[in-house]
Amino acid sequence: MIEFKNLSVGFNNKTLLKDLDGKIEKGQLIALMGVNGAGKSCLLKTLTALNPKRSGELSLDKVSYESSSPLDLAKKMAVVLTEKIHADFLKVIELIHLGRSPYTDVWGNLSDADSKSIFEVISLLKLERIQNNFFSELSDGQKQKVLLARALVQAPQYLFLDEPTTYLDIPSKVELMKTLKQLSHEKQMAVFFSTHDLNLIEDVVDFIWLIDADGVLHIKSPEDLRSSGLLKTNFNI
Amino acid sequence: MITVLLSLVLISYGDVGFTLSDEVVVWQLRFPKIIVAFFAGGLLASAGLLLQVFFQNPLAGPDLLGINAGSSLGVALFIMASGFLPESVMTIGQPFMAMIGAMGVFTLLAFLVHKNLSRISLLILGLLIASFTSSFISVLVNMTPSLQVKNFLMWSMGSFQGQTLEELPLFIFLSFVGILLLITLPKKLNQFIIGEQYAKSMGMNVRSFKFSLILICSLLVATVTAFCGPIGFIGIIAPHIARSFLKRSDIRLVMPAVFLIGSALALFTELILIFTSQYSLATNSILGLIGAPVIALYLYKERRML
Repeated sequence: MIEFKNLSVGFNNKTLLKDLDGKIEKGQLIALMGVNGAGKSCLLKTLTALNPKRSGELSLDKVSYESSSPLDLAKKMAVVLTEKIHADFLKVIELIHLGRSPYTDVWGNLSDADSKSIFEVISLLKLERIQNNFFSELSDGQKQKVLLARALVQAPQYLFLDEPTTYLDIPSKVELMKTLKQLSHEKQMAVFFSTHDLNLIEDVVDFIWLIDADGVLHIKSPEDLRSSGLLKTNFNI
Repeated sequence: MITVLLSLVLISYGDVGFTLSDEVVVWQLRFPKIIVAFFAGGLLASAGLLLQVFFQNPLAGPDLLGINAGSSLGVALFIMASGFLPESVMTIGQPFMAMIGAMGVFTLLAFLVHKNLSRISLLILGLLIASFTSSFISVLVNMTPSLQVKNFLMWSMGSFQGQTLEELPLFIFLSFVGILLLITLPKKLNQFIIGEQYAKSMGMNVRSFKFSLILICSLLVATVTAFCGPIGFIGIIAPHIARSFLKRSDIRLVMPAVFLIGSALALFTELILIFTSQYSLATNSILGLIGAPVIALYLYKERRML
């Protein structure tokens, strides 16, 4: 369980959000919402230890982030980010292999267990046909899937995705949601993602985390959120 | 892929074999040059690869980013001051000062890039550093007695030939240290290729990795610059040649290829110099004739990226 109390997040010595409380449990599918600039990415990057927190408590399975090693965290959580990848001649399969880095030896050689988990993820996401293509030549939807595969072979208990649906067409969005639901409910993974697609996620997720205009974090089930009127005030819906 | 690698080894060794059998009598003269060219080319090429990964910029190279220039400034200061220094620091002082200069420039660049510098600005900044140091060096030259100036000017031409058998062991020692350090890097470089944030999310300590890259890359450049003078172009073109041959990005394959292509380029330049010895051409002019068109070709092919 990831837990935080009185958490402040921000970057470049600026605090964006403060007094945040919440927790993420295994098996939950959570969508993080909020208008642009509300601090969604910042919160997500703090929860994944990519940005340092400003202050407050933040712990994974009762152990604070500061006292766990980066490698231990990497074995428990993985991310899919919005940053573009610029590598030339990077093969899909090699990119997916990289997800095993926390487990491989100093040379990055794969053990049998590594290969097995890579094989499973590739067949789960049906990437067999494109695994030998160059990453730079894929469509946005395919890239998103490959990045998800890279994160999954990292064998995370907590999976974080920063706006994974943004560049996808409708069928790909729906498919991604199905996959995320499957991961959280069948594999008991916690899946946490930021998004703007309320219609898409409403019937799928367990919780919606809404950051309102005042920087307050509301954690509610989709039904409660709809009846609370928060959506009206924040999104004019 | 492996054949490409093998043939590169053969080319490199072919050069060695050729020059050896051709000039058996003077092997004492030729042998150091071949060793020096082999290592210097390889080290510079590897340094170029490290820089390109570090800055995520395919046009990065020790010369374009001013790291060669920083090294040169270190060496210039050392040679100019050598009249006042005790004999005992002479051998180690030059590489040491070259290392300080290279690290200085690299650290400056790394710090500025942290502040979100665009790809092009980085290169312009490198050029500025290079021209600043060369102005600084020419001021130094004008203020210094002639013997040191002559030594410095000889060195600043850049050549794989200036070495005596006595200097060779230190050069080889530093080269081996450089190679050993390079061998520790591929896995982390591979993680770094897809971006700093992803590398971090896979448990890598990005800060200490970047620091070790600065250290290792400076060592590589400094070793070459201290002994051979500033050598251009190998660092930037060898990684491009390697990638376009291999069509792969896995550093475990790319790095040895880059090293060997760097070596081959240096040896090839040496070979041309030997064939044209009556004109006493400069190493850097030959490399410029090869290197500039290769970069231009790359820019043309990849114009959408920049």
